[in-house]
Amino acid sequence: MAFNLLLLIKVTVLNKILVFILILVINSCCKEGYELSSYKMSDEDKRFVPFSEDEKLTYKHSNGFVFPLDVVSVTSQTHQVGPNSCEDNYYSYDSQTVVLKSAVPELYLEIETYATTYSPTITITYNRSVFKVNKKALPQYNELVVGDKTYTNVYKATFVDDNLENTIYPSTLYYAPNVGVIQIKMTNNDTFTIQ
Amino acid sequence: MTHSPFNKIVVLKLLIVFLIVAGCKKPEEIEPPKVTCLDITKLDESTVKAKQWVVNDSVSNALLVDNNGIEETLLILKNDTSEAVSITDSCGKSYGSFTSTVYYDTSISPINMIATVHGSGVVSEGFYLRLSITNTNNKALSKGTTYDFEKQQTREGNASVNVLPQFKLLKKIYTNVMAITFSEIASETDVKTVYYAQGYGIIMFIKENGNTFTVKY
Repeated sequence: MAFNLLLLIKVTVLNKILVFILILVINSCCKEGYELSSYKMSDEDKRFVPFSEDEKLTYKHSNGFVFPLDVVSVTSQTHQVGPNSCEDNYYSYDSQTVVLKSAVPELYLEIETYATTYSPTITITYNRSVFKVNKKALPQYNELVVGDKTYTNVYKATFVDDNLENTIYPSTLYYAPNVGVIQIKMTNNDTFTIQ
Repeated sequence: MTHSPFNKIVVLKLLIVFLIVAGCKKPEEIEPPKVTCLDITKLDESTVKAKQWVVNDSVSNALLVDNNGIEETLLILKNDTSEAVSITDSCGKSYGSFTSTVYYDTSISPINMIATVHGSGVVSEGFYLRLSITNTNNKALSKGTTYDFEKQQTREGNASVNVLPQFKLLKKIYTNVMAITFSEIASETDVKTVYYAQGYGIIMFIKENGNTFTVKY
C-alpha cells in the first residue's frame, strides 16, 4: 500500500517535470522576429554635427567677455525598438549626442541628432531652452554675417516660453552644419558668438 | 499535596476576574503624561522674529547680473504662505504654525533655490529658515541647510551663518542679511554662499569659482 502511494507521488512529480520541459521546448521554438528597418547615420548626418571629443571652442558674450566651451562627450548609440513579444518584428536607429560645457557662465549645451531617415530633427538644448533644426529643410540663410565672419547655409531656430514674459532667456540660435552653434541670442539681445 | 483540577479552575477564574478588573480601569485614573504648558509669550516673540525673514509679497522677478556683466532673470516662481493650528497643550492653550516658501529659479543659469521660513509651537519643529539649492544640470549637486533661529546655527552643521545688521549692495542698503556659507562644495560651479535679506529673500549668491550673482532690486 505504502509502496503504491510512493510510486504515485513519483509519477505525479515526473509528469510535472515533463510538462515544464514541454513548455520550455515550445517557447524556445518561438520564431524570432526580423529587423524591419535599420536607420543608420550617414556621413552627411555626421557632418551636420561637426564635433569631436575634447575639442575646445571659444565663445564671446556681446559685452566682450570671452569664455571656453568644451566638448565633453560625443556619444553614438544604436537603439532597438521592439520586439515586444515572441515573433514580433523590430527596428533600430542610430543617434549621436554631443555635450558641451563651460563653467563661467555655467552653460550646458546638448546636441542630439538621429539618422535623417529616422528623424531629420536636431535638438539643441541650452539649459532650459530647446531649439530644433530640421536637417531636411533648406537653411534660412545662404550667407549670414555674424561679427566679422560670413557663414554659409545657416539655420535659425527659435524658442519661446510663454511662461517667461519679461525674462532674459536664450530665444534664438543660429546653426551651420560645418560650424555648429554660431550664435545664441537672448531675449534682451545679448549674444554668445563663436570665435 | 495534590493539585486537583478544581483548584486549577479556581485559579484560572480568579485570573480572569483580575484581568477584567484591571482592564476596566477608568481613563481618568490613567496618569496623564507630563506636558509643560506652552509659553505663549516666548512663542509670540519667536514668531515675530522669524516672520521678519519672510519675503514680502511685493518682491517679484528681478535682474540678476554676474561678475562678467552677463544678465539673466531671477525668477520667483511661487511665494506661498500658510498657517495652521499646530499644538494644544494640557493647560488648554494652543499655538499655531506658519510656513512661508519662496521658489526661485534662474532664467539662464541652472540654479534652483527654495527658501522656507517656518515657525511652530511644536518643540521638534521650532523656528527656522531652510535653504535648498539644486543645480538642474547636475542633480547630484543638490543641498540644503536649516538655520535654527533659537540656536542661531544650522541644524545639519553643514553651513555657517553670519547675520549682518547692514549690507550694502549696488548702492542699496539692506537691513539684517544672513550670509549662509556651505562647508561642503562638490564642484567649482557649486553655490558656496547665499545672501538672504529680511523681507527681500535672496539678494546675492557666490559660486565656488568666485562668480558672484547680484540681484538688482
